[in-house]
Amino acid sequence: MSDPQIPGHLLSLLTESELEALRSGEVDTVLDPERVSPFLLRGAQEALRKREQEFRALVENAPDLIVRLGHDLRFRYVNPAFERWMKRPAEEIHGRSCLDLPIPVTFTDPWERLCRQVFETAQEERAELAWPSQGEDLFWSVRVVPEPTGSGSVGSVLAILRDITARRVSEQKLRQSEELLDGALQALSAHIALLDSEGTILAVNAAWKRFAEENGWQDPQFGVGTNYLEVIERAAGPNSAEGPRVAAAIREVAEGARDEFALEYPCHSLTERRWFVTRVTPFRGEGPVRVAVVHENITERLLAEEALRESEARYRRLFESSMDGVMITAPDGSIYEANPAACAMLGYAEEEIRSLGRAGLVDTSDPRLPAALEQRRRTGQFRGELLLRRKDGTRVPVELSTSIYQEEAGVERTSMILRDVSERKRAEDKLRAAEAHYRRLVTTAPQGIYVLDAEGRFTEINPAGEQLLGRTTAEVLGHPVAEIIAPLDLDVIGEAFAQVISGESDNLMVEVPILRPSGEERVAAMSVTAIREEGRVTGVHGTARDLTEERRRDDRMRLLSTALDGLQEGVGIIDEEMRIVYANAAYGRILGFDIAHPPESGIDVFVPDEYSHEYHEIRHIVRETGSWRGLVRRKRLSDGRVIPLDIIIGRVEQEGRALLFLILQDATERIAREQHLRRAERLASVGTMLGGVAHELNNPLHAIISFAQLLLLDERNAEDREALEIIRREGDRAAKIVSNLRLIARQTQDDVESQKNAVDLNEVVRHILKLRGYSLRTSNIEVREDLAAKLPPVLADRSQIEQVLLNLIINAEQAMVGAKDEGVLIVRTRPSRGGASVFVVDSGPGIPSEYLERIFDPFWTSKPTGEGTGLGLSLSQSIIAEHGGELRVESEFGKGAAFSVDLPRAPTQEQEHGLVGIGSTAERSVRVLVVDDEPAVRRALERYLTRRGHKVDVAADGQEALHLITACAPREEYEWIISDLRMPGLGGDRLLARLREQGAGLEQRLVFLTGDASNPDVQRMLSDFSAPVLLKPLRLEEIARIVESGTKKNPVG
Amino acid sequence: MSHAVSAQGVGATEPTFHLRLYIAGDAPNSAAAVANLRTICRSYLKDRCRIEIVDVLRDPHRVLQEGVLITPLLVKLAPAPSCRVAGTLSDTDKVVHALGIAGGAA
Repeated sequence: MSDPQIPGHLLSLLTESELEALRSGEVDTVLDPERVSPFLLRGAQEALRKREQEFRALVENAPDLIVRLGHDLRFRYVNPAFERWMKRPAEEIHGRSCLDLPIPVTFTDPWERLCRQVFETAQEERAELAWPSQGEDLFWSVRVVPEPTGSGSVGSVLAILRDITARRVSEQKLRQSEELLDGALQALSAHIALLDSEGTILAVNAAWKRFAEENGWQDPQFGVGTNYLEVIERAAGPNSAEGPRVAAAIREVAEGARDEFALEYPCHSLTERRWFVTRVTPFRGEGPVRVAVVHENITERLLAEEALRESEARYRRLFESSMDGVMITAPDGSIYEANPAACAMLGYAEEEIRSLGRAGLVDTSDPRLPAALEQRRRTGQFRGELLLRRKDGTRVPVELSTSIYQEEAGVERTSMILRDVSERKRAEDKLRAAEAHYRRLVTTAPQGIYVLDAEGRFTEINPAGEQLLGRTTAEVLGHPVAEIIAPLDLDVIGEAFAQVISGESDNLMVEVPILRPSGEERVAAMSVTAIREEGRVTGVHGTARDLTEERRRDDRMRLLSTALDGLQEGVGIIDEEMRIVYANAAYGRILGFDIAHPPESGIDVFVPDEYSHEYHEIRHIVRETGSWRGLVRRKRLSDGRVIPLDIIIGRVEQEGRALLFLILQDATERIAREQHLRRAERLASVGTMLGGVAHELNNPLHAIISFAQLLLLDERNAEDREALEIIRREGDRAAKIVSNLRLIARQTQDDVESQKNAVDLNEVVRHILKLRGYSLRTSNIEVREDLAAKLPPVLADRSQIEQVLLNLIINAEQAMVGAKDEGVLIVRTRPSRGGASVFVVDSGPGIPSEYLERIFDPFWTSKPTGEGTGLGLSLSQSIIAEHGGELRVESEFGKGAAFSVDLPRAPTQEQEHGLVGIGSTAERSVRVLVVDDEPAVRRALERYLTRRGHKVDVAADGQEALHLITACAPREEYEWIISDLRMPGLGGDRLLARLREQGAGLEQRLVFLTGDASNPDVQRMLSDFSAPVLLKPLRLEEIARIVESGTKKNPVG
Repeated sequence: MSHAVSAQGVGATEPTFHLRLYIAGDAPNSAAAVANLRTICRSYLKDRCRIEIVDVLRDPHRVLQEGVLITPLLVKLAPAPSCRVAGTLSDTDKVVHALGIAGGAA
């Protein structure tokens, strides 16, 4: 449709679209360029005027600073605000440049640049410029507007300055807070999307983007711009049911129908269990309605909640099954819960406990209660002991632990854990008592007791320990043990301590020297024992015993013991039960037992049965008098032999105990020695007497025999011859008797060696039987000689063998005399394997078997006191043993006794010499000097030797002999000097000395003739001088043999 | 006088539409055009359009300079190509099409 009002020329100017708008009436005005000017001008001028007024009012009243600047940038106009700002009137500003005003250059420069730009471009420019000022900068919004002239060029510019400092500050703050908010939003772990009211996603945070990426959302915008509602409504999958619900909720929130919506749902991935919550909230603020969708992974929270539930269940179980009483209470004393243990402890049901409350349970008289409550009120907890009342009225001590806590609702609750400590209290009481007991023990202990810490420093020491160390507790505590105890030897205690503290050993005993501060040294035995706490060594403790006195005693004891063991005498100590308490080495040796193991039954074991009576008597005497000494016989345990002992017994009291000390000595040797001595003494006196007798008898006998021999040399009638023969034979017999006497005398000389020769035992037997013949006959004893025809000679000292045989025969004789009956003595000789034996057999009563062992003991005799010496058999045995033979006895009580003597055979010897015929004449005449004080002896020799053709001089003593010797002419010296030994004046011995002095060797021609060879002086002299000694009486032919053989031996010249 | 509304949003890389609407004071068609233009901009050019409104009664000399013969008249100044749409702009599709707004509502 066309508008007729529109001129045609206009229509051609309009576009199709404008024409259509024109036709549809949607146009308000149509402007005709040809006609518009007057119309417009008029309207415009009017409008201009009106607007100028408005503008002026605006400008005059505007708070903004408004100025007009010309090309020269000088002020053409300033409004009142500018005047006020510059603090000067407009008249002073007009025509001036802004440089003339107090405006900072940093402001004016950009401002002027801005103005020039506007002049050039004729375009409005805006800028925000800073006005530096003291304190904070001011900011101005500067707008420069061109003011065109009529020709279209810019004539001036209008600058409008507005103070925007406050806005800038608030904008800055806003920006900061926005940045902060945005940062927070981005930092949140929840996925957040902001939707508009239609459900289109406007923005998402970083977490959302991450989640989108991780879950394969292929949108580079992370959904921004898409409609979230459509997405979740379309969503398929296990949680698709939730999609529409969430979408509906978002719509409701967007419409304001509901305030908020939240939905939790599981959203498990292949690898983990996950739960999410979707929360929809309106996003409040200006502008259109927006909705925030917050999508949050709540897996952890749910798992934590689940754990919490489980934990609660566990605590419940713990509560129910705890051995301790547990109660949940409030600070005001009400009780909410009590577990079974608490009920059992108090004897109430849980209901009763609840209704009783604290006041009904706690013993309010307990003085500790107020303090406990006060402490819990102040600190929130209490731990300690209180008394509770049980239902049965008794009190129960409990250890109580209570603390206040806040329940979720902010309500204060208290937990209370009770433990019945009555048992423990009792145990503690006991422990305390025990501790006090041990404390007393430690304090009063005679031994030192100490405790050290792990560094070896004293932490405790008892009074005995103080005394031992010579220091007070204060001086000791805290000091290292080695320093205090053993400065003398730090290593000893140090090493022991180190070993124990390191756990190397658990218990050690060391001996340490202690130096007291006073300088006194002590020795102590210290035990070092580990103190363990939970398996770790935390220190050591132990005891210390002062060994000093003990050591000194030990030393003395050792010394004593050594001394005692060195004794020859046995020393023993016997207790009241006769047991050996102590025995020295000699004691054991003498009695034949090991002193380390003395006989347990006591010393009775040493007593032979036959001495039991005597033993008890001795004990009785010791009991009565306290001592005894004497000779006893005791059995040696090692070989059962009974030995004589000299014993001294004394009694000592020790600590109320009566002890006996015994000193004993083997008396065997002493007895033997004494026997020898006694016998020697007795025989010595006999011997001395016999020696004298023999000497006195020998000279007359010698004369008798010699003269009888001389007389027999001549022709005699039968009667004379018989008489002379009898004189000579009886003289010989008397000489033999004297010789026997001499033999006995010789026993007294110990230093005389026995002279062993070949002896014919038969001859000895005959000789002795002849000797005892008379006695035997008068005792009505029949003697039977049973002598072997061919008996080998034995090597023996004849006189000693004679004595043994004499002994045996006398013993037999006496045994048979005692028996009263007619006795038979058989003496038998027999050759034996090694020589010959003699048997002496009697028909006496025999020897009791118990005596058989002892008959050879010295001084043992079965004869009445005074009759026997007890020496005979003992001496006989020692003689035979000395000969290498054996003396034995066989006897049966009631059947006589048989003694036998075995002697070794003598070596076979040539017949020594053929005796010179007594009646013949010597082949050569020898010059002989005979020196003797006995004229009969002198004369007999003189006559015999002269008769044999020798030249004989005689002298009565040594002096005379010397005269004769020196008076001899050369070649007339005596070849033999036959001299008596004992002579008045110069005796034989001195004669010998003189001859030696002469140095002519005459002493070698000396032959002594003596009737007393047993004289000690003679013996001594003869040992120095090997001259032949002839015993008187001697056969004359003996002299002749020497004198006539001597020429070979001792030529003179 | 004229005033402009400027907004920049998430999609800052999209071209900003520069539109100018000539109106004649409070005349009815002009008021309708202003409202319709705002709706279209909000729907299609959110945060990426700048609108200049020129009242020919107040700036008559611009009318002459810019060859505006009728009001209301919408001129698209940018992006190229420019175009003019006259009328109340009530036919949204037609306006959108004319302005060459790509994509439409997503």
